[in-house]
This record gives sequence, structure tokens and C-alpha cells, in this order.
Amino acid sequence: MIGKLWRKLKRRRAWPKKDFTGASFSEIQTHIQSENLTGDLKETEAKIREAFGNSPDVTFRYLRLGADLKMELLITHLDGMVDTNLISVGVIRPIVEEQATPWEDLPSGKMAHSLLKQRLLETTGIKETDSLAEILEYMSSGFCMVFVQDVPWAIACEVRRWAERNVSEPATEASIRGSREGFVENHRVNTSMLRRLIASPQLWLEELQIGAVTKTVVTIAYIKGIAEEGVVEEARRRLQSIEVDSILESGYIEEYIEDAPYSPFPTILRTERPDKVAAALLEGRVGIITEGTPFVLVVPASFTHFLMASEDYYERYPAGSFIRMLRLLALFISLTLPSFYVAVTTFHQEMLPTPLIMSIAAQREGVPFIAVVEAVFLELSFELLREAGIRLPKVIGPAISIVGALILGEAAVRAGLVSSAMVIVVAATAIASFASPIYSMAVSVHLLRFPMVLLAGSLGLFGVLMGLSAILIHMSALRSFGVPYLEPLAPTIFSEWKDALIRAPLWMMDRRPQSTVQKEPIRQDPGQKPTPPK
Amino acid sequence: MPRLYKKWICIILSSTLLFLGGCWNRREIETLAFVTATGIDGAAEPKKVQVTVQIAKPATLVASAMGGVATERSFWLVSSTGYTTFEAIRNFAHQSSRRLYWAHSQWLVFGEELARRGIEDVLDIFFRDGETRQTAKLAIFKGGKASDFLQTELEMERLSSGAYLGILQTGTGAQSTVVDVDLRQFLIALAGEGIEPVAIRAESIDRPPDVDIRGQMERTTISRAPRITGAAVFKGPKLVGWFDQPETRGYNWIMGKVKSGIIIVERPEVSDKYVGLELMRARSKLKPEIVEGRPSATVIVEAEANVGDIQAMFEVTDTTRMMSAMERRMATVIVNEIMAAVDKAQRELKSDVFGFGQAIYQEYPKEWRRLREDWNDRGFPELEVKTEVTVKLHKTGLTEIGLPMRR
Repeated sequence: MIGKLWRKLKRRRAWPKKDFTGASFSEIQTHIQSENLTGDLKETEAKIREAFGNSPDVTFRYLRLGADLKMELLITHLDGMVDTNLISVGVIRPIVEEQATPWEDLPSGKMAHSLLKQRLLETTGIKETDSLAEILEYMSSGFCMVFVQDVPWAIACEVRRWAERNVSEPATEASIRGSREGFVENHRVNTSMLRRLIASPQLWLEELQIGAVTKTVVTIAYIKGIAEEGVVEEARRRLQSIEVDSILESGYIEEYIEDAPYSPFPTILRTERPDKVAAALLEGRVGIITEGTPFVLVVPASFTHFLMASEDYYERYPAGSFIRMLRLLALFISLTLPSFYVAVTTFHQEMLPTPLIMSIAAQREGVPFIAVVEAVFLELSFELLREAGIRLPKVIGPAISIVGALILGEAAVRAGLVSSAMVIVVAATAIASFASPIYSMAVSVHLLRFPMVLLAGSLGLFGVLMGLSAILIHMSALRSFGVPYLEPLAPTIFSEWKDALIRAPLWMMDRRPQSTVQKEPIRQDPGQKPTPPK
Repeated sequence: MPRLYKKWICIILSSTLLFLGGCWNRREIETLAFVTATGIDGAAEPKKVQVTVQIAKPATLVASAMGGVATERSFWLVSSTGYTTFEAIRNFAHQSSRRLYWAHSQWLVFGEELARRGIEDVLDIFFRDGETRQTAKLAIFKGGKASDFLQTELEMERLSSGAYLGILQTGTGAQSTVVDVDLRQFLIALAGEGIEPVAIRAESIDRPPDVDIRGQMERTTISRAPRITGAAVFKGPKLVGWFDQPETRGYNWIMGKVKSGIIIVERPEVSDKYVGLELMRARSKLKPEIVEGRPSATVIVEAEANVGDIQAMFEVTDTTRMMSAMERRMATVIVNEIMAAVDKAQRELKSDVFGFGQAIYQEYPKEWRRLREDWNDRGFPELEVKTEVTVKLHKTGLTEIGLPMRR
């Protein structure tokens, strides 16, 4: 017994020398952090191999330099993360050409190191480090490492390139007029899109690394001098306080930094349209760009922002205003239409005009379920269809939606399982819910629909109004990075109504929204309304 | 147990309170029988009331998915009796598989016999109960029982209650020779000081036998057709008589309820020919006066009309004179209509349905105290009613007054 334990302990103590068998993640991490470079290239290679567990994509190459080619160099990178052309042209070729130069004597490793750094390496980004942990990190993000014999530190050359998606039209926020460009997964490409839209040095970017394992790069973007320092500081503080192992999508970040984690409503706007982010930055908001996802977060965001599409500003203002109000109506319909229907048909039959109630009564004739059950059943099957339509391969997706929507609905009505009025109500609700420009808001409303229907089925319109008041009270209590959620409606700021439910002409919007911009309130000179020449 | 859980348990438990009442008062739409019209008569047994309801059969009203419309009758007529209206209504429970639902009852019809006896004993439930509507039209069926009226079918509509609403609407809009009275207006007039209520007059007329009235729906031959014209005049809760068409328009003139109508006047310049004038707008005012203790009232009417049609259209010599002549003649017609209504109410019916008393009460409250005692039987019949009618003719249609003659 004791002997067994002893052997176990012995094995543990002996472990770093061989491999990491039985070691936990953090144990390996502390081990790697304790390691330093010695200048022995063979040992360095061994250490790197060991750290990557002999992964086949870790590539090593030895070169020689100096008189009689005595000076040994080691070049290593992760295959697939780097531009191999750039390595051969910018790293290897200068070294090989230098070999032709006769060296009088063997220079010290330090000299060779600075020679490499200052003259030979032809890549743009060059960094230096002496810790193994950082070396591994650089390699993981697509750097090529150059080690010189007897020098206990390394040069990292930026040669990253990997396969990525081309810039394409945003899938979730298509528009008729306006840019067809959507963000991609590469955050550097994303920041470049913002830079192209806002060609000002005051577009400031700050980079953070979040995620102990994934080391995801997260960039805060804002316009210095327009964005409130407090908001930027708050965003920075919240991001820095995230201590997690992984960030795979901006949704992770959203959940860790949002103001109301229990609320069904999103308090952070997410978009894949660069123009939308640029517009938000120009209003003093802060963008949070995450590596690996085309979805950029924008804070602070109030409820009205979830009704806006960037197209509102590109089409002329009457169309923009009309569509915006239509969206609010659609949101309201998708929240309340089934519950109103249930309430009216089970409690308040006097509220409908006689011909309409007769028509509904005729359809309900012989339907075996009470209206609430019917509504919940149909709503659930609609949600199911929607989900199936999204997940299915593109080729059979439409087929499913046709089968589901048309055939299933028609068959259910014919079989007398549901009434056709309810099918119409659910269909209208579905259409209304698709009018929401931001999917996350549409989803919250989808979810709220079910309690609303249950309230309607148990308490009638009284229940519906109770539900609506609860939602309203909840919404007016929400905040997003210090800005009230219902602003400018609930803390009533009339001057900002010109860009809330309606979209006033651009020449009327002389001031930036005062909730997010205090220092630089003037957006444009007043009196920009076009007039005929005098 | 941590505090947090306690809080949540409290919230959850108290929110279940909301649902503990269950689905109180829930009534699924298919368990309801929608009453579309209610008729009330005296029952065969003495002291009892007979309530007849017209219940819509929804399935027959909607074209089914298979196409086509059901050929059966779209309503079910069922009667029940009781000592009070409420009891009679409850007694329907023994006959109807579904609960009677009254919010869509659009008509409240009384048989003439019951109306003459007085309707105050049967009316109460209709405004005491929350489910019935006071917007239901109140009608008296002349010369028959209310149940007979509800039984009549119409050619155009499947549900007669809706059809009657249509007749009422077109009648008001086109000729103003009907009154449009709902339960609420009736009650206000019934309870009002110095005013008596009127109700809609419904009757049924014989079909001329030579007209083929069988439609495509192959229903039983309709031998009697309903008609809604005129007004039923009440004195208190009792029916005392009827206004015919011209008198009803006279009544509407005084009440300011004339919306439209064709006024026929004799053709100026040519004898035995007529001109139809289309009334476009009318305003009226009731001005009471008391001179030396004698009350009198003036009805002031301002009417605007267009020329509708002219007989002998080529024989117009003086347009201006003809216009003013037509205006004068139209004013005379209006005065005649007003006086016909007033005369009948004063002499024959002795019921101040116009609210002259009410106008006096509002203008001279002190004198009214003396007059109110037997206003309907002494004061009102002796009331001097004057008229001031001005008519303005505006448009002559797409042409001038007289058409130019081709030579």
C-alpha cells in the first residue's frame, strides 16, 4: 500500500523530464512558465516539441551562418498558420544569402542576433522574447521564431496567414441599399473595415487577450474625444475582469459583461455590419471586436437601437421613419397577437364584431383543444420548423419549410386539430417576428410570447395587460453601460425622438445623442437643409 | 437555507396565487350560443313572459372549406317562459346545449300586444346584466308577436338580425323616415323629464303573389317580408301609437336627426309635374319660450339640398325664380311634415316624444315645476309650436336646372 503510494509520488516527481503524462492543464502551464531558454538549440527544439506534444504541424529548420558556417540557427513555426512564401523570402533567403559573405571570425551569438534583427529579417513585425510561454503563444498566433545558438532569447517574425472567409454580404443583416460588406472572422480585417469608414487617427483601438486557453484577441474600438471616457473605462474594466478559459464568440463576452444577466432582453447590440458599428462609434458608443467571429458588440445600446437598421439612414427619411414604426408594430404583434387572440376568444367574445366572432366560432367548431393549448401547440411547432429550417442543409431547408408550413398546417386544419384562424394568427406572428432587424431581440420576444399566451389563457386580457406591464416595468429598470434601456422614451428626451421611433431628415440631426456624448455635442452645422439657390 | 432561495420561493409561491383562481370565467368560443336577436312577448299563461331568441349557427354562416354554403337555416329560434325575463332566460338551459351568450344580441323586439301593456316589467334585465349590450336596437313589431318577426327570413342575408341592421342603416341614410333607437337611448328618454321614448317600428307586409321570390338557396317560399319604417310612439313604458313615414321624418326634423332624403315638391311653372330635391345637410334647433305663462316652442330648421331630378326638364324659363320657388316649396313640405308629427303627437297620442317639455325644463326650470304635473295630457297638447324653416338649394347636378333643348 505504502509502496504503491510511493511509486505514484515518485512518478509524479519525475514527470517533467519525460512527457506530460497524467499532468493537468494548469500543471503543464506552470511548468512551461518556469522554463527559460538556455541557448542550446537542441534543447529548445525538445522543449517546444514537448510543449506541443509532438504535434505534426510544428516545423523546425536548422540553418547556419557566419564564418565556416559555424553559427547555428533554428527556425520554427506552426504549419498552416503562416505564409510559407513569406518565410522563405523574408526569413530564410536573407540568411542563406548572408552565408555567401565571408565572415572574418566567428561573431558572438549576440552579434548574430542583432544582425538578424536589424538587417537580415525582412518581415514587418518583429518581436523579442525570452520566455518559453511567450514563444509558444507567438507560435500559436502565426509567428515564425528564429533562435540563435547560445543566445537565450528569440526573435518572432510576423508571417501569419491562414485560410479565411472572404468579405461577403452579412447573412443576418442584408440590406437593399448600402454597403454589402460584412465583418469576417479575422479581427484585423474587421478593424481595417472600420478604419476605411472612419479615416481618422482618433479612431482608437485597444487590444486585450481574454481566455486562459484560447487567448482570444478582443479589440475595443472608440473615437477618442467623442466617446465618454467613463463608458470606455467601464468597457475596459468589464472586459479585463473576465477570467475564463475560452472565448469562442462574442456571445461569450456579451454574457460576461452585460448589465442584466437575468433579463430576457439583450442590453448589448451585436451586428455584422461595419457601417452600423461606424455609425455607433460616431455616436460615442464603443465597439468590441472579437477574433474569430463576424459579430461585433456595441455598447451602450438602448431598446430603440434594436429597431434600427442602417438602411433607415440610407433610404430617404419618410421611408426610414415608416419602416421603423412598422418594426415596432411588428415587435408588438409578435409579442401579443397570439395572447390577444386567446384572450378574446376565451374571455372577451363581446369585443369582436359579430360577423368576425361568427367566423371564428365556425372555425372552432369541432376543434378538440381549448384555445390556449391550440396556441401553445402551434407556436411550438412553428418554433420547431424555424429551428429545423436553420439547421438543415441549405438544399433541403426550403423543402422542410414548405412541407411544414403548408402541408402540416393545411392537414392540421382539415383534420380538425386546429382552427384555421389560429393558423393565421401564428403565421402572422411569425412574419412579424422576422421583421426584427436584430435576431437577438426577436428571440427574446419569441420566448416572452409563451408566458403571455399562458397569462391570456388563464386571466384573459387582464393577464395580457399584467404581462405587458411587467415587461414594461422590467424594461424601464434596465440599463446598458449607464444608459437607461428605454432612453429616449422613458427618461423622456424629446430632442432625441428625432432618431428613435422615427428617423428625422439628416439635416435636422445637428447634435449627437446626449446620453452618450457630452463633450462634443455638435455633429454638424445647423441649417444644412437644402434650399434652391437665391 | 440561504436567504436568496427564500426570496425566490416567496416570489414563485406568490405568483402561483395569480393562477390559483384557475381559468375563472373562461368560456371557450365553441361552448357559446350566440344570441343575435331577442324577442319578448306575453306568454300564453297569464303573468308569464315569453322570451324568444334567435341563435346563430356559425357553421352555416361561413363557406366551408369544401366550398359551397350550407342550405339549412342559419339560425335556431327557441322560446322559453318565466315569471320574469331573467327566469325565462335561465330556463333556456333546459333546451340549449350551449350557454346563451348575449353580447352579440343586436335586436330587442317586443310584440305589439306586450308593448301596449307596457314593457317596464321585462326591460330591467337588459341593462342590469353586464353581458347584454345597450346598443341593441329596440323595435316593436306591429301587429304581431316578436317571435314571428324573428322567424322571418330575408333574401339577401342568412341572418335576419344583421339584415335588419342593414335595412335600418339604409333607411336612415336614404330617407330619414325611420328612427334609429337603441336600448340606451330608449332608457334615457324613458327616464327623462319632459320627453317620451320612441322605438323602431317593424312590420311585415304581404308579398305580391305574382313575384317569383324563390332565390337560388331553395328555401321555403317567403310569403311575408319584413319592413322597417316609421316609429313606435310610447307614453312612458306603454306603446300608444305609430308614426307613419312623413310623420317620422317630421319627428326626425325636430330632433335634428335627418341625414338625407328626397323631398318631392310640385314643379314650378308646369302643373302636375314634380321635382325631386335631395337633402344634403340639415340643422335644427328647438327654442322654447314662455310668454305670459303660456309655453310655446319654435322649431328652427336649416336645410341644404341639391336638385335631384326634374320632370319636364326642357321647359325652364327663369332659373333664378325656379330655384327660389323650389326652395319655398321645399320649406313648405318640411313645415308640413313637422306639423303632421306634432299634430299627431298632440291630438291623437298625447305624448311629447319630441322633448318640448325637456327643452322648457332646461330653459325655464321654475315654470316647468308648474307645467310638469300633467304635461302630456294638458300642457303638451296645448303647446303652440311654430316653425322657422330655411332651405338653400346648392347644386344642380352635372347640368343646369333645365337642360338646353335641341332645336
